[in-house]
Amino acid sequence: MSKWKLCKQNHGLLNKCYYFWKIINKNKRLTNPETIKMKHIKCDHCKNDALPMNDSIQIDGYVYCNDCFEILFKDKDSLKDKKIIKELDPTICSNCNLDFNDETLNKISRYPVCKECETKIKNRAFPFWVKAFMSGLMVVVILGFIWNWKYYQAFNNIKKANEYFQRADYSNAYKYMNSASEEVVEVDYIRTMASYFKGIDLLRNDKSGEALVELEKCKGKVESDFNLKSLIIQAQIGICFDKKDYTGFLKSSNENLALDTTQAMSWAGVASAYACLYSQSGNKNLMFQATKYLDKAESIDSTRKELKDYYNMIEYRIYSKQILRREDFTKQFPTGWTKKQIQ
Amino acid sequence: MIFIPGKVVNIFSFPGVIVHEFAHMLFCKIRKVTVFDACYYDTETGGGYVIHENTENFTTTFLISMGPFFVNTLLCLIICIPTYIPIKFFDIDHPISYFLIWLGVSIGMHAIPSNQDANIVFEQAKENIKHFNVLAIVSFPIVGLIYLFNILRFIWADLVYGFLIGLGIPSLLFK
Repeated sequence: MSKWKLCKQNHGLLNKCYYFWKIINKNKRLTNPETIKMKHIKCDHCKNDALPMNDSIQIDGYVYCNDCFEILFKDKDSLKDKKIIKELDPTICSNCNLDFNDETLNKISRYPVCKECETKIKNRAFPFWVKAFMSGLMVVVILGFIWNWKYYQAFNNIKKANEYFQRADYSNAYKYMNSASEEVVEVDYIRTMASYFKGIDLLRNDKSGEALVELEKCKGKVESDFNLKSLIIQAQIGICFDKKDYTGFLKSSNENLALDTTQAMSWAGVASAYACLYSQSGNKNLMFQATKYLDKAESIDSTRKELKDYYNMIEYRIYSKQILRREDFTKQFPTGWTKKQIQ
Repeated sequence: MIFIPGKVVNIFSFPGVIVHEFAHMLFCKIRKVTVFDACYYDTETGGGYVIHENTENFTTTFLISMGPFFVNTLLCLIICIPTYIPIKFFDIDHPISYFLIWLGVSIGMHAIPSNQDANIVFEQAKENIKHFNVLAIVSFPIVGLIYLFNILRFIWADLVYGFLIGLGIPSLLFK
């Protein structure tokens, strides 16, 4: 708050004068009485004509000395609606209180000020402790940014990772999440998310064994809506398929179907396992089972290209009794398989 | 509602008082207004003051009076921003982070000019509006808001403002 403003608004000129009077008295210096040639004025109440101008105040055109003023105007209400003028001796510096005899001093605002004080006032600088305090604040701000920068980088990387994940670009999602986990090593959750993204990326690239290792790291650390159980089962399915353990493949596929019976892919997974077992054993019952599950999958979704390609591969497996990996099947039948191609 | 005397609030938020007076002084220097006396923190009252010469230039008066609003608000924001993400997103409860939040919010609490600052702007705005001074026109609602804010200080509006700037703005920036 500015005291100048406080004075002006609340109590008018009188308080402003009082305030500067206070400042003047605070800084009062003793001067040689013989050399004092300050201007004098007469008090209209006590008739003292040796009253220093700086010790007087004009109210409604009448001059009063300090003592008379205090007797006559005891409270603020007695000054209400009165014109108050504080006359300042132009030969006395308002700041250092030195008397400059007949020399009229320059003014700052309405206050006569000597050259020395004028220079001092106009060049008033911030005190050392304030400069030190503000510098300290700046240092705190800079250190705050440096200290926490890694969190901001990690935050940005996590945002990017999530964006890539939304676009099903699991490789880049893992890349950015892993960077975030390296930046903020103390946060276990980010490391878990990096493992999760890596697991999905490996699963997508048919590296089920490595995917299972990463996904196992997330156990008990992620929310249920992350479908971790389903992903682990899919990794187990992949491992069983790679080992040609088709019984294990069927068991895991059934577990996956039990988790969510609304997904066409889950039904197709069981159909795929039965198709593998049929290819291996030639047991017609297994073929019927494969066809039954395949029909169910198609009844749920027969439009998505990814699924249609998968159905096509299962049909080929049932018809040819040959078990091909997905990438080998795509390579052999880039435009899909039809019965004619076998005949 | 707990009533805590302003002096006690000022003691706990002393960095804000210093920055508030620093801002008045800074704008006096920028606008070349003579300063007669300045107290950045009075240990007895918990307050401070800057005594400067009067000026007829409304822009100068406006800037000197509103200086703390700009300086304190900006400092509050840049002190709190670095601590927001570690606490909010990574649950890292480091004492340094809480120290920075206290510092930032303390400074933000003293951003709003006092009624006395608003009064002087209001008085000069009344004169300057006659000359269609745009800043004077704009300053009327601002002065009104300052009065309202200062009334609401008894329900901790200053603390709420500090938190809004220090934590509210980062929460909008980092979603």
